[in-house]
Amino acid sequence: MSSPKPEIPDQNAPFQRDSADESASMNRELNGPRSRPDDLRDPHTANDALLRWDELDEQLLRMLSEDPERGWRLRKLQDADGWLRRRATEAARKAVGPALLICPPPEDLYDFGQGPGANLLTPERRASIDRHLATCLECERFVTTLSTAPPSPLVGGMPEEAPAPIERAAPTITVPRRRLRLVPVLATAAAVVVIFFGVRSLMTPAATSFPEGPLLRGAAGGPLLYPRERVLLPSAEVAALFPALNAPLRFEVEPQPEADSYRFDLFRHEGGAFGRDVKLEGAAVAANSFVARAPREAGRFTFEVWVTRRGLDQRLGARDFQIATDAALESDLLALRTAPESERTLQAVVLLHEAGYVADARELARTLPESPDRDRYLSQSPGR
Amino acid sequence: MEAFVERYRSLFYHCISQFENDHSAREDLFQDILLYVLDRLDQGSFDAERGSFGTWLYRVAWCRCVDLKRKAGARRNPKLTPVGDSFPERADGRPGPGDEAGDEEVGDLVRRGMSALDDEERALLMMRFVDDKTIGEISEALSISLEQTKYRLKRASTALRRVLLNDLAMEDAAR
Repeated sequence: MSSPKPEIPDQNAPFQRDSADESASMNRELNGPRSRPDDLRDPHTANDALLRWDELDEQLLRMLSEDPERGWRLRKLQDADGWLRRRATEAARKAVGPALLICPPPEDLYDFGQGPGANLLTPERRASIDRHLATCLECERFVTTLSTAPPSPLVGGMPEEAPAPIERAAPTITVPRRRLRLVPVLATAAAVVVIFFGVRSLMTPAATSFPEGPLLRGAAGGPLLYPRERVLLPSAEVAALFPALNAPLRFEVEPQPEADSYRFDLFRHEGGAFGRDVKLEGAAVAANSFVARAPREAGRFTFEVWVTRRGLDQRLGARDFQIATDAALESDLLALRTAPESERTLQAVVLLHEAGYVADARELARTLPESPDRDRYLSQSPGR
Repeated sequence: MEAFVERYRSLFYHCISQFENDHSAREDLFQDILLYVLDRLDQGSFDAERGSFGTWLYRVAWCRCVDLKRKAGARRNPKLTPVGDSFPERADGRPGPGDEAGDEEVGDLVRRGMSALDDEERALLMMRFVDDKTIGEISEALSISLEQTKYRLKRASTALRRVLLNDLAMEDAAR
């Protein structure tokens, strides 16, 4: 083992903890405690530390317990936690027997916490460990460390090639003068091409075709696809002309790898900043889409989706949308009454899509005969 | 050997950082785990058919960390257990006679604190710590997901601590 003294790589900063290790060095003076003793003099910091005492590292916990003012409060909180766990211990002893009090071997805890490559436990064993965790803070903390799995390339195996040295001199870019002289010529040529295609597209009469999916960035992306933003609450006339627009809402998410099932929860906002969400319905389904049972009604809603992988739920996210009437769009849709049957639905799809009612456009597109264009439209996902 | 250490150091440190914040302790843990892993490799514990090498390494490293932490905890809190006791690794959680009075006092404190919580928070803590319910059973009872149950339990526990801290501050002020 003649390797040089190891240094902690930057990418291994502890997850969801303080960022002290992001540029870790071996200089212990630089690597002092994450919270300095001075920090505990601040009542807010100290109170916060007391509230999450079971998440503190040993050093900080020791500092807190030695603090004359907070030490006894910490002990009281620890006593309270111990008291609760003793109740759990008594309950477990009565219900299952004292065997439950033995700490499970690390391998079982690893499987229970679904560490990378975890084996499946029997439901009985899972329940037994679950009950044990209520009685044992230490085991519960061990399992918590598995909640942040290492990045998959780490576990799946490292690349064959050794990583390039981190500190490299920035390459200097030198552009020959001859190429610089070509820049105005190339720019002019590019402009001519753009103008040519632009004019041609304006001159050519456009046949109705499926619209392109929106190109979205940031929070508008993500695995929760539809509905999003606006959903039409159609009038009776529009609903009679396009019955699909009055169908119950269909919720769609991106298919997730290793998904056992998906859970969709639909909430309605009470309104106001401090209003509570009212859960309208929820269901666990095997497919990555779900059709609501409730009919459409005006209002603001949120749907939340969870995916279950190997028995563990993972939140995919939540998306807001609004169901509302739209008089202008309705009149445009009703104007299509005179259009030939074959064109009417496709034109309505385009209208809805362009007005931002993408979920409705998709629902309507589903009623069209199967075709490569239709399937391509339906397979579009908003995203990057 | 050097190549092995270089290649998997980041994986080991990812695991170790979940258990240790102190750098010198991390170094010690790293050395220990490295030797342990090499020993397990010599014994032929790795089975390529059961998963990737990195996954196996992570599992072995994590389990070793837990073992070492448990040993360190046992050294700090030595327990004497009679020979033949069927539960040698865990002390009896029941309070001794001397602790009864303190336990009652703490019990009163917790009961008072719980009564100040909202219904759901109180129900969650009761189900988990008094009714011996698993997370799965609680999530079914409340029609929420497992993750939501864990999150709300944590929130309820923090809410209880907040109430207790307020009570303790009042107690302190009254002295």
